[in-house]
Amino acid sequence: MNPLFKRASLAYLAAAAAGYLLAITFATTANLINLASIGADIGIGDALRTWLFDLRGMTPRTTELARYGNVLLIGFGIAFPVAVLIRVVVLRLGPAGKRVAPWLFPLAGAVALGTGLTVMFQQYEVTAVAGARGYGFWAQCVAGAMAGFVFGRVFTRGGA
Amino acid sequence: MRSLIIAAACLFASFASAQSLQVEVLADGLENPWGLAFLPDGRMLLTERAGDLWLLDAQGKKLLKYANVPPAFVKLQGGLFDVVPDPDFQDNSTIYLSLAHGHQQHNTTRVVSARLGATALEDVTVIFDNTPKGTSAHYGGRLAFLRDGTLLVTTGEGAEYREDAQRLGSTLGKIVRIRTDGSAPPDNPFAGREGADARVWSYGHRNPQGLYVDPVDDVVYSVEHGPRGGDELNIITRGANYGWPIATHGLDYTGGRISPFETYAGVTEPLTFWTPSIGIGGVAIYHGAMFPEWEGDALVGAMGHQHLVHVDLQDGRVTSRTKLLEDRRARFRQIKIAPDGAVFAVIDAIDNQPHTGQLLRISRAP
Repeated sequence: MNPLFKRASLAYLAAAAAGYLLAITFATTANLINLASIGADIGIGDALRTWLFDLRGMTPRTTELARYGNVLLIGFGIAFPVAVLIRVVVLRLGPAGKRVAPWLFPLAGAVALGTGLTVMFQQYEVTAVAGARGYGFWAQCVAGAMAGFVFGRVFTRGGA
Repeated sequence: MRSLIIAAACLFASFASAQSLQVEVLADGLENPWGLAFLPDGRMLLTERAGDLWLLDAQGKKLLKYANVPPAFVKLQGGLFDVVPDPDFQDNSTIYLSLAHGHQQHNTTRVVSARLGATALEDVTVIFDNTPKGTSAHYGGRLAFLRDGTLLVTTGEGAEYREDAQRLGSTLGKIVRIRTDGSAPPDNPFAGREGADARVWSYGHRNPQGLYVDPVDDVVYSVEHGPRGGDELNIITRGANYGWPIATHGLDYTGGRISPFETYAGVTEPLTFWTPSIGIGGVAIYHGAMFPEWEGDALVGAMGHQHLVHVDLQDGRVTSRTKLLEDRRARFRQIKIAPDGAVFAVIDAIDNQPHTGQLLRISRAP
């Protein structure tokens, strides 16, 4: 297998796993905070049970395209290759490009999640993930950015 | 063995019931019909979500389209919704309409009163607007009169504002009770409470699109959409909390939980719920001579799953649910019981195709 493709694949898998874990954690947390704000008494056990359910319930599945995990996989699958290509161009811009390059993958990850959530909202005028409304949307973008950071670290290891 | 015999008997009963139904299509080619009302003289009023109000004769034939119907915000789930006549319609010719009003960034569930003129509505007066929202989803929109002449109105939580269903200061996600001039009756459960809207009758609703006041005992029934699963049939009582979004039997569309809780202290549980969702439409309690075996039972429309549900009620408990008329592939939007005991059904569409709305009369087969 082409070494570059192998490294990119590993980076993608690592980023998707990290991004999924963070996105679900942030979404569950935001959702529970919203429920608590209207009087729900949520204990640690309730929160953990919900988090574990969300982790399992939103995993990617080909038979249920609406799952959030699918949205993440597709979004990252588009954003990171595009960021790789942009990075090639940016690195040729000299010192300024070298300063910008490390930010490209986090930006791509954030844009991927933000775009996915926005597209879903435009379709049905409801945010498909309860914890991704309001500040929760930005938390999802942060999760995407951190996934991008992971992608960048794995992909550029060894000087790619 | 005994349970097998009972199951076989239920199966036979439902089969026999389905076989004994005769369905007449009184009107077709309708565009997303939403509300139906019987007038004292046997004629009917029918709304179409795109904004038209029709007068039909007793056989369902269109007689005229009323002018001066207030313009509705027609987008996604918004439009012209329900119509009910005033309890004293024979004296005052007054009707009430519910509709989505406004624009994308600021829209409400609105209720107007109007006098039914010869060809147009007259004296159209706004009597209710709920808390504004910026989505074109989850309006509720059903109307029903209580015996005391007050009007119940269902409102949805606008999809993006689910927590407002629990906030008594908002009329999103509620059933409100108002007088016919729009004012709040002083005996409403939260009248006089600081921070609460005095018009609120019950709360914690997601998107209740079915509402029925049993004329026999004044008990109020409602059906509401769950998210992914959790469509509900509820008995609505004064001041009760129906739980959304703190307690729900449904999940988020993307597979996660809406809430850790399916039940919660202080929340009124539904009579029954459906998972997966059936895309619940309207509800009626059957009282009539044509189907005595259905006396006191609920008939519930299923739009998404395209059938009618007979819910057997015994002493306020659900003992069975039977699907009817599945072969019609019809989105059952609203159910009404005619004076002769026939069941009228407003069909939103057949197989989700445009211009296929119908008005059905379901009677006992000869």
